[in-house]
Amino acid sequence: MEMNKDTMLDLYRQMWRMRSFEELAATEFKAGKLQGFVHVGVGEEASTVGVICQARLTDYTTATHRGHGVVLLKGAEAKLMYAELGGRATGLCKGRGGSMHMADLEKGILGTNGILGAGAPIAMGVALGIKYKKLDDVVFCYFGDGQSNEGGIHEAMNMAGALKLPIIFVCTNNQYGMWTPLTKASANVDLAKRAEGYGIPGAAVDGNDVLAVWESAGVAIDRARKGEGPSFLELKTYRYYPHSVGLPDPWRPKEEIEEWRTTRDPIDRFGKVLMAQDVKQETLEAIEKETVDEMQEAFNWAMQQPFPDVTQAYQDVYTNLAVEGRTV
Amino acid sequence: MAQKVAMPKLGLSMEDGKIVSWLVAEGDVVKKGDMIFEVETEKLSQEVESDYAGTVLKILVPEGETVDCGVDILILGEPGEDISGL
Ligand SMILES: Cc1ncc(C[n+]2csc(CCOP(=O)(O)OP(=O)(O)O)c2C)c(N)n1
Ligand SMILES: [Mg+2]
Repeated sequence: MEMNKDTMLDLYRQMWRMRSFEELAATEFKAGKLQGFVHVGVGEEASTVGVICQARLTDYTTATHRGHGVVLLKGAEAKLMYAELGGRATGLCKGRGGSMHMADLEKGILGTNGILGAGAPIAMGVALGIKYKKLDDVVFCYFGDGQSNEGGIHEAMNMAGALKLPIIFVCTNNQYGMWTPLTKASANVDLAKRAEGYGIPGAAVDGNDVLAVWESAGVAIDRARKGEGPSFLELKTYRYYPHSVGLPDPWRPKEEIEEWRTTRDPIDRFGKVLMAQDVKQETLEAIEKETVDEMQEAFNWAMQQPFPDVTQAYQDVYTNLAVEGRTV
Repeated sequence: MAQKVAMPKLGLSMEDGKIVSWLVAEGDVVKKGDMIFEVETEKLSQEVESDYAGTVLKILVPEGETVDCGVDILILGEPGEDISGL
Protein backbone atom coordinates (compact mmCIF):
# COMPACT_ATOMS: atom_id res chain seq x y z
CA MET A 1 0.00 0.00 0.00
CA GLU A 2 1.25 3.48 -0.88
CA MET A 3 1.32 6.01 1.90
CA ASN A 4 3.57 9.02 2.18
CA LYS A 5 5.99 9.34 5.05
CA ASP A 6 4.28 12.33 6.66
CA THR A 7 1.01 10.44 6.91
CA MET A 8 2.85 7.46 8.37
CA LEU A 9 4.59 9.60 10.95
CA ASP A 10 1.28 11.15 11.84
CA LEU A 11 -0.26 7.71 12.40
CA TYR A 12 2.69 6.87 14.62
CA ARG A 13 2.08 10.06 16.60
CA GLN A 14 -1.64 9.35 16.93
CA MET A 15 -0.86 5.88 18.29
CA TRP A 16 1.38 7.46 20.89
CA ARG A 17 -1.21 10.12 21.71
CA MET A 18 -3.71 7.40 22.52
CA ARG A 19 -1.21 5.40 24.57
CA SER A 20 0.06 8.41 26.50
CA PHE A 21 -3.50 9.52 27.22
CA GLU A 22 -4.42 6.08 28.52
CA GLU A 23 -1.25 5.46 30.53
CA LEU A 24 -1.68 8.75 32.36
CA ALA A 25 -5.39 8.07 32.94
CA ALA A 26 -4.49 4.69 34.47
CA THR A 27 -1.81 6.16 36.73
CA GLU A 28 -4.00 9.02 37.91
CA PHE A 29 -6.99 6.75 38.47
CA LYS A 30 -4.91 4.71 40.90
CA ALA A 31 -3.74 7.92 42.51
CA GLY A 32 -7.41 8.70 43.22
CA LYS A 33 -7.59 11.78 40.94
CA LEU A 34 -10.25 10.47 38.55
CA GLN A 35 -13.86 9.58 39.25
CA GLY A 36 -15.79 6.45 38.34
CA PHE A 37 -14.09 3.66 36.47
CA VAL A 38 -11.62 3.77 33.61
CA HIS A 39 -11.11 1.05 30.99
CA VAL A 40 -7.98 1.75 28.99
CA GLY A 41 -7.04 0.49 25.53
CA VAL A 42 -3.26 0.30 25.88
CA GLY A 43 -2.16 -2.26 23.29
CA GLU A 44 -5.10 -1.62 20.97
CA GLU A 45 -3.77 1.56 19.34
CA ALA A 46 -3.40 0.27 15.79
CA SER A 47 -6.98 -0.97 15.69
CA THR A 48 -8.26 2.44 16.77
CA VAL A 49 -5.91 4.72 14.84
CA GLY A 50 -6.06 2.77 11.56
CA VAL A 51 -9.80 3.30 11.39
CA ILE A 52 -10.84 6.51 13.12
CA CYS A 53 -7.97 8.62 11.79
CA GLN A 54 -9.59 8.26 8.35
CA ALA A 55 -12.82 9.84 9.56
CA ARG A 56 -13.85 13.29 8.43
CA LEU A 57 -15.13 15.84 10.92
CA THR A 58 -18.66 15.36 9.55
CA ASP A 59 -18.55 11.57 10.00
CA TYR A 60 -19.92 10.06 13.19
CA THR A 61 -18.67 7.48 15.63
CA THR A 62 -19.91 5.54 18.58
CA ALA A 63 -17.46 4.22 21.19
CA THR A 64 -17.53 1.55 23.85
CA HIS A 65 -16.69 1.54 27.55
CA ARG A 66 -13.06 1.31 26.36
CA GLY A 67 -13.51 4.30 24.09
CA HIS A 68 -11.17 7.12 25.17
CA GLY A 69 -8.91 6.51 22.15
CA VAL A 70 -11.77 6.78 19.67
CA VAL A 71 -13.05 9.99 21.28
CA LEU A 72 -9.57 11.56 21.37
CA LEU A 73 -8.67 10.64 17.80
CA LYS A 74 -12.02 11.71 16.37
CA GLY A 75 -10.95 15.13 17.56
CA ALA A 76 -12.00 15.75 21.16
CA GLU A 77 -9.57 17.84 23.21
CA ALA A 78 -7.47 15.86 25.67
CA LYS A 79 -7.75 18.51 28.36
CA LEU A 80 -11.55 18.45 28.23
CA MET A 81 -11.49 14.66 28.36
CA TYR A 82 -9.30 14.61 31.45
CA ALA A 83 -11.52 17.23 33.03
CA GLU A 84 -14.47 14.96 32.28
CA LEU A 85 -12.72 11.96 33.83
CA GLY A 86 -11.97 14.12 36.84
CA GLY A 87 -15.63 15.15 37.19
CA ARG A 88 -14.87 18.83 36.58
CA ALA A 89 -17.48 21.42 35.59
CA THR A 90 -15.59 22.36 32.43
CA GLY A 91 -15.21 18.76 31.24
CA LEU A 92 -16.31 17.59 27.82
CA CYS A 93 -19.79 16.83 29.25
CA LYS A 94 -19.66 19.21 32.22
CA GLY A 95 -18.19 16.48 34.40
CA ARG A 96 -21.46 14.58 34.51
CA GLY A 97 -20.68 11.77 32.11
CA GLY A 98 -17.22 10.56 32.99
CA SER A 99 -15.39 7.85 31.13
CA MET A 100 -18.44 6.03 29.81
CA HIS A 101 -20.67 8.92 28.76
CA MET A 102 -18.25 11.09 26.89
CA ALA A 103 -19.69 12.77 23.81
CA ASP A 104 -18.81 15.71 21.58
CA LEU A 105 -21.61 16.09 19.10
CA GLU A 106 -19.99 18.93 17.13
CA LYS A 107 -17.24 16.49 16.24
CA GLY A 108 -19.58 13.62 15.47
CA ILE A 109 -18.67 11.78 18.64
CA LEU A 110 -21.93 10.15 19.68
CA GLY A 111 -20.56 8.97 22.98
CA THR A 112 -18.75 6.24 24.81
CA ASN A 113 -21.22 3.77 26.27
CA GLY A 114 -21.35 1.70 29.42
CA ILE A 115 -24.05 -0.57 28.03
CA LEU A 116 -22.54 -3.28 25.89
CA GLY A 117 -23.86 -3.28 22.34
CA ALA A 118 -25.89 -0.11 22.85
CA GLY A 119 -23.85 1.88 20.33
CA ALA A 120 -25.12 -0.18 17.41
CA PRO A 121 -28.78 0.92 17.39
CA ILE A 122 -27.57 4.53 17.81
CA ALA A 123 -25.25 4.13 14.82
CA MET A 124 -28.18 2.69 12.85
CA GLY A 125 -30.37 5.71 13.50
CA VAL A 126 -27.69 8.21 12.59
CA ALA A 127 -26.79 6.27 9.43
CA LEU A 128 -30.43 6.19 8.40
CA GLY A 129 -30.50 9.97 8.84
CA ILE A 130 -27.42 10.35 6.61
CA LYS A 131 -28.99 8.19 3.93
CA TYR A 132 -32.28 10.06 4.14
CA LYS A 133 -30.47 13.38 3.66
CA LYS A 134 -28.43 11.90 0.79
CA LEU A 135 -25.09 12.84 2.39
CA ASP A 136 -21.91 10.86 1.96
CA ASP A 137 -20.87 10.82 5.62
CA VAL A 138 -20.36 7.51 7.37
CA VAL A 139 -20.80 6.14 10.89
CA PHE A 140 -18.20 4.10 12.74
CA CYS A 141 -19.71 1.62 15.14
CA TYR A 142 -17.26 0.14 17.64
CA PHE A 143 -17.79 -2.92 19.77
CA GLY A 144 -15.71 -5.61 21.46
CA ASP A 145 -15.60 -9.39 20.96
CA GLY A 146 -17.56 -9.93 24.17
CA GLN A 147 -20.42 -7.66 23.21
CA SER A 148 -20.43 -8.99 19.65
CA ASN A 149 -22.90 -11.52 21.07
CA GLU A 150 -25.39 -8.89 22.25
CA GLY A 151 -28.68 -8.91 20.36
CA GLY A 152 -28.58 -5.26 19.39
CA ILE A 153 -25.34 -5.77 17.46
CA HIS A 154 -26.89 -8.51 15.33
CA GLU A 155 -30.07 -6.60 14.75
CA ALA A 156 -28.16 -3.50 13.69
CA MET A 157 -25.86 -5.40 11.33
CA ASN A 158 -28.75 -7.22 9.76
CA MET A 159 -30.87 -4.14 9.26
CA ALA A 160 -27.96 -1.95 8.13
CA GLY A 161 -27.28 -4.59 5.49
CA ALA A 162 -30.90 -4.66 4.39
CA LEU A 163 -31.13 -0.85 4.19
CA LYS A 164 -27.58 -0.41 2.81
CA LEU A 165 -26.67 2.05 5.54
CA PRO A 166 -23.24 3.75 5.64
CA ILE A 167 -21.83 2.04 8.72
CA ILE A 168 -18.42 0.55 9.38
CA PHE A 169 -18.90 -2.05 12.11
CA VAL A 170 -15.56 -2.24 13.91
CA CYS A 171 -15.04 -5.16 16.26
CA THR A 172 -12.02 -4.71 18.51
CA ASN A 173 -11.37 -8.37 19.16
CA ASN A 174 -8.99 -8.32 22.12
CA GLN A 175 -10.03 -11.92 22.76
CA TYR A 176 -11.60 -11.38 26.18
CA GLY A 177 -14.74 -9.91 27.63
CA MET A 178 -13.66 -8.90 31.13
CA TRP A 179 -12.00 -12.25 31.85
CA THR A 180 -14.00 -14.59 29.61
CA PRO A 181 -12.03 -15.80 26.60
CA LEU A 182 -13.87 -15.60 23.29
CA THR A 183 -13.44 -19.37 22.95
CA LYS A 184 -15.82 -19.77 25.90
CA ALA A 185 -18.29 -17.18 24.64
CA SER A 186 -18.85 -18.46 21.12
CA ALA A 187 -18.41 -21.66 19.14
CA ASN A 188 -17.41 -19.52 16.17
CA VAL A 189 -14.40 -17.38 17.06
CA ASP A 190 -13.95 -16.18 13.48
CA LEU A 191 -16.19 -13.22 14.04
CA ALA A 192 -15.67 -11.75 10.57
CA LYS A 193 -17.42 -14.79 9.11
CA ARG A 194 -20.65 -13.63 10.69
CA ALA A 195 -20.82 -10.90 8.07
CA GLU A 196 -21.87 -13.46 5.51
CA GLY A 197 -24.98 -14.16 7.54
CA TYR A 198 -26.01 -10.50 7.17
CA GLY A 199 -25.07 -10.35 3.50
CA ILE A 200 -22.36 -7.73 4.04
CA PRO A 201 -18.59 -7.85 3.45
CA GLY A 202 -16.48 -8.96 6.40
CA ALA A 203 -12.71 -8.86 6.89
CA ALA A 204 -10.52 -10.37 9.60
CA VAL A 205 -7.47 -8.17 10.04
CA ASP A 206 -4.28 -8.18 12.12
CA GLY A 207 -5.43 -5.41 14.42
CA ASN A 208 -1.90 -4.70 15.61
CA ASP A 209 -0.72 -3.78 12.11
CA VAL A 210 -1.80 -0.20 11.62
CA LEU A 211 -1.24 -0.26 7.85
CA ALA A 212 -3.31 -3.41 7.39
CA VAL A 213 -6.10 -1.87 9.46
CA TRP A 214 -5.86 1.36 7.48
CA GLU A 215 -6.16 -0.47 4.20
CA SER A 216 -9.16 -2.60 5.06
CA ALA A 217 -10.91 0.29 6.80
CA GLY A 218 -10.31 2.40 3.69
CA VAL A 219 -12.14 -0.14 1.54
CA ALA A 220 -15.08 -0.25 3.96
CA ILE A 221 -15.27 3.55 4.17
CA ASP A 222 -15.24 3.99 0.38
CA ARG A 223 -18.00 1.48 0.03
CA ALA A 224 -20.12 3.20 2.66
CA ARG A 225 -19.57 6.67 1.15
CA LYS A 226 -20.66 5.41 -2.24
CA GLY A 227 -23.93 4.19 -0.79
CA GLU A 228 -23.04 0.51 -1.18
CA GLY A 229 -23.76 -0.30 2.44
CA PRO A 230 -22.08 -1.45 5.64
CA SER A 231 -19.02 -3.65 6.23
CA PHE A 232 -17.75 -5.56 9.19
CA LEU A 233 -14.11 -5.36 10.28
CA GLU A 234 -12.79 -7.76 12.88
CA LEU A 235 -9.52 -6.38 14.25
CA LYS A 236 -7.57 -8.94 16.26
CA THR A 237 -5.64 -7.30 19.06
CA TYR A 238 -4.95 -7.42 22.79
CA ARG A 239 -5.13 -5.20 25.85
CA TYR A 240 -2.34 -5.07 28.42
CA TYR A 241 -4.22 -3.63 31.39
CA PRO A 242 -6.80 -5.53 33.41
CA HIS A 243 -10.40 -5.14 32.21
CA SER A 244 -10.80 -2.00 34.30
CA VAL A 245 -7.85 -0.23 35.90
CA GLY A 246 -7.35 -1.53 39.42
CA LEU A 247 -9.21 -4.82 38.97
CA PRO A 248 -7.45 -8.16 39.49
CA ASP A 249 -6.55 -10.04 36.32
CA PRO A 250 -5.61 -13.54 37.44
CA TRP A 251 -7.28 -15.51 34.65
CA ARG A 252 -5.33 -14.28 31.66
CA PRO A 253 -1.97 -16.06 31.54
CA LYS A 254 0.88 -13.70 32.50
CA GLU A 255 2.99 -15.18 29.71
CA GLU A 256 0.30 -14.35 27.17
CA ILE A 257 0.19 -10.68 28.22
CA GLU A 258 3.98 -10.54 28.20
CA GLU A 259 4.17 -12.15 24.77
CA TRP A 260 1.81 -9.60 23.21
CA ARG A 261 3.58 -6.72 24.92
CA THR A 262 7.09 -7.71 23.94
CA THR A 263 6.69 -9.26 20.49
CA ARG A 264 3.44 -7.95 19.00
CA ASP A 265 3.14 -4.41 20.29
CA PRO A 266 1.50 -2.27 17.58
CA ILE A 267 3.61 0.83 18.25
CA ASP A 268 6.92 -1.09 18.32
CA ARG A 269 5.97 -2.88 15.14
CA PHE A 270 5.11 0.29 13.29
CA GLY A 271 8.26 1.96 14.64
CA LYS A 272 10.31 -0.80 12.98
CA VAL A 273 8.49 -0.28 9.69
CA LEU A 274 9.33 3.42 9.85
CA MET A 275 12.97 2.80 10.75
CA ALA A 276 13.27 0.48 7.78
CA GLN A 277 12.25 3.53 5.73
CA ASP A 278 15.09 5.58 7.19
CA VAL A 279 13.17 7.35 9.92
CA LYS A 280 15.62 7.92 12.78
CA GLN A 281 15.08 6.42 16.18
CA GLU A 282 15.50 9.89 17.71
CA THR A 283 12.58 11.13 15.61
CA LEU A 284 10.39 8.37 16.99
CA GLU A 285 11.53 8.97 20.55
CA ALA A 286 10.84 12.69 20.18
CA ILE A 287 7.28 11.92 19.02
CA GLU A 288 6.72 9.70 22.04
CA LYS A 289 8.00 12.33 24.42
CA GLU A 290 5.93 15.10 22.84
CA THR A 291 2.76 13.09 23.37
CA VAL A 292 3.66 12.35 27.00
CA ASP A 293 4.20 16.09 27.57
CA GLU A 294 1.00 16.97 25.70
CA MET A 295 -1.06 14.69 27.93
CA GLN A 296 0.63 15.79 31.13
CA GLU A 297 -0.11 19.41 30.28
CA ALA A 298 -3.72 18.56 29.45
CA PHE A 299 -4.08 16.66 32.73
CA ASN A 300 -2.55 19.49 34.76
CA TRP A 301 -5.03 21.92 33.21
CA ALA A 302 -7.90 19.59 34.07
CA MET A 303 -6.86 19.31 37.71
CA GLN A 304 -7.07 23.11 38.04
CA GLN A 305 -10.71 23.11 36.98
CA PRO A 306 -13.59 23.52 39.45
CA PHE A 307 -16.02 20.76 40.39
CA PRO A 308 -19.65 21.38 39.44
CA ASP A 309 -21.75 23.09 42.06
CA VAL A 310 -24.22 20.82 43.82
CA THR A 311 -27.08 23.14 42.85
CA GLN A 312 -26.54 22.05 39.23
CA ALA A 313 -27.21 18.41 40.00
CA TYR A 314 -30.66 18.45 38.42
CA GLN A 315 -29.70 20.43 35.32
CA ASP A 316 -29.78 18.59 31.99
CA VAL A 317 -31.81 15.68 33.36
CA TYR A 318 -35.36 14.64 32.55
CA THR A 319 -36.94 15.48 35.84
CA ASN A 320 -39.22 18.23 36.91
CA LEU A 321 -38.30 19.24 40.42
CA ALA A 322 -41.39 21.39 40.84
CA VAL A 323 -43.70 18.50 40.03
CA GLU A 324 -41.83 16.11 42.24
CA GLY A 325 -41.65 18.65 45.03
CA ARG A 326 -37.93 18.18 45.49
CA THR A 327 -35.09 20.60 45.98
CA VAL A 328 -31.39 19.97 45.82
CA MET B 1 15.72 8.98 41.97
CA ALA B 2 13.79 7.52 44.87
CA GLN B 3 10.08 7.06 44.30
CA LYS B 4 7.41 6.83 46.97
CA VAL B 5 4.69 4.27 46.31
CA ALA B 6 1.23 5.01 47.72
CA MET B 7 -1.73 2.80 48.57
CA PRO B 8 -3.57 2.81 45.22
CA LYS B 9 -7.26 3.55 44.81
CA LEU B 10 -8.41 0.43 42.97
CA GLY B 11 -12.08 1.22 42.61
CA LEU B 12 -14.87 3.71 43.03
CA SER B 13 -15.66 2.88 46.64
CA MET B 14 -12.21 2.01 47.98
CA GLU B 15 -11.15 4.36 50.73
CA ASP B 16 -8.44 2.38 52.45
CA GLY B 17 -6.61 -0.90 52.10
CA LYS B 18 -5.04 -3.41 54.46
CA ILE B 19 -1.59 -4.72 53.66
CA VAL B 20 -2.14 -8.43 54.16
CA SER B 21 1.40 -9.34 53.18
CA TRP B 22 4.44 -7.89 51.51
CA LEU B 23 5.64 -9.88 48.50
CA VAL B 24 8.95 -8.02 48.48
CA ALA B 25 11.55 -7.25 51.17
CA GLU B 26 13.94 -4.33 51.60
CA GLY B 27 16.83 -4.82 49.18
CA ASP B 28 14.77 -6.67 46.55
CA VAL B 29 14.89 -5.45 42.98
CA VAL B 30 11.43 -4.79 41.52
CA LYS B 31 10.46 -4.50 37.85
CA LYS B 32 7.45 -2.55 36.62
CA GLY B 33 4.58 -5.05 36.73
CA ASP B 34 5.99 -7.23 39.54
CA MET B 35 3.55 -8.05 42.32
CA ILE B 36 4.63 -6.15 45.41
CA PHE B 37 1.96 -6.69 48.05
CA GLU B 38 -1.35 -8.31 48.78
CA VAL B 39 -4.14 -5.90 49.62
CA GLU B 40 -7.52 -6.43 51.21
CA THR B 41 -10.34 -3.91 50.87
CA GLU B 42 -14.04 -4.00 51.71
CA LYS B 43 -14.67 -5.43 48.29
CA LEU B 44 -11.71 -7.48 47.22
CA SER B 45 -8.37 -8.95 48.04
CA GLN B 46 -5.71 -9.12 45.37
CA GLU B 47 -2.06 -8.74 44.61
CA VAL B 48 -0.95 -5.30 43.50
CA GLU B 49 1.66 -4.71 40.85
CA SER B 50 4.35 -2.08 40.88
CA ASP B 51 4.01 0.87 38.50
CA TYR B 52 7.72 1.59 38.92
CA ALA B 53 11.06 -0.21 38.76
CA GLY B 54 13.74 0.03 41.47
CA THR B 55 15.22 -1.45 44.59
CA VAL B 56 13.04 -1.63 47.69
CA LEU B 57 14.70 0.91 50.00
CA LYS B 58 12.12 1.03 52.77
CA ILE B 59 8.81 -0.56 53.68
CA LEU B 60 6.81 2.13 55.49
CA VAL B 61 3.73 0.19 56.57
CA PRO B 62 3.93 -3.20 58.29
CA GLU B 63 1.79 -6.21 57.38
CA GLY B 64 -1.64 -6.22 58.96
CA GLU B 65 -2.02 -2.44 58.96
CA THR B 66 -4.73 -0.54 57.11
CA VAL B 67 -3.99 2.83 55.53
CA ASP B 68 -6.00 5.31 53.45
CA CYS B 69 -5.59 5.43 49.68
CA GLY B 70 -2.80 7.82 48.80
CA VAL B 71 -0.74 7.15 51.93
CA ASP B 72 2.86 6.20 51.14
CA ILE B 73 3.66 2.59 51.90
CA LEU B 74 7.00 1.91 50.21
CA ILE B 75 10.08 3.67 48.86
CA LEU B 76 11.81 2.44 45.69
CA GLY B 77 15.12 3.78 44.36
CA GLU B 78 18.78 3.07 43.72
CA PRO B 79 20.61 0.84 46.22
CA GLY B 80 22.28 2.95 48.91
CA GLU B 81 20.42 6.12 47.90
CA ASP B 82 19.93 8.69 50.67
CA ILE B 83 16.23 8.84 51.46
CA SER B 84 16.45 10.83 54.67
CA GLY B 85 15.02 13.87 52.87
CA LEU B 86 11.88 12.05 51.74
C1 LIG C 1 -25.37 -5.06 28.64
C2 LIG C 1 -24.17 -5.19 29.50
N1 LIG C 1 -23.85 -6.40 30.02
C3 LIG C 1 -22.75 -6.53 30.82
C4 LIG C 1 -21.97 -5.46 31.11
C5 LIG C 1 -20.73 -5.62 32.00
N2 LIG C 1 -19.51 -5.58 31.17
C6 LIG C 1 -18.82 -4.43 30.99
S1 LIG C 1 -17.54 -4.60 29.94
C7 LIG C 1 -17.83 -6.25 29.75
C8 LIG C 1 -16.99 -7.07 28.81
C9 LIG C 1 -16.93 -6.49 27.44
O1 LIG C 1 -16.09 -7.24 26.61
P1 LIG C 1 -15.77 -6.77 25.13
O2 LIG C 1 -17.01 -6.44 24.42
O3 LIG C 1 -14.90 -7.83 24.54
O4 LIG C 1 -14.95 -5.42 25.33
P2 LIG C 1 -13.50 -5.23 26.03
O5 LIG C 1 -13.78 -4.97 27.48
O6 LIG C 1 -12.71 -6.46 25.83
O7 LIG C 1 -12.91 -4.04 25.38
C10 LIG C 1 -18.94 -6.64 30.51
C11 LIG C 1 -19.45 -8.01 30.57
C12 LIG C 1 -22.34 -4.21 30.56
N3 LIG C 1 -21.61 -3.11 30.77
N4 LIG C 1 -23.42 -4.11 29.76
MG1 LIG D 1 -12.91 -7.92 24.41
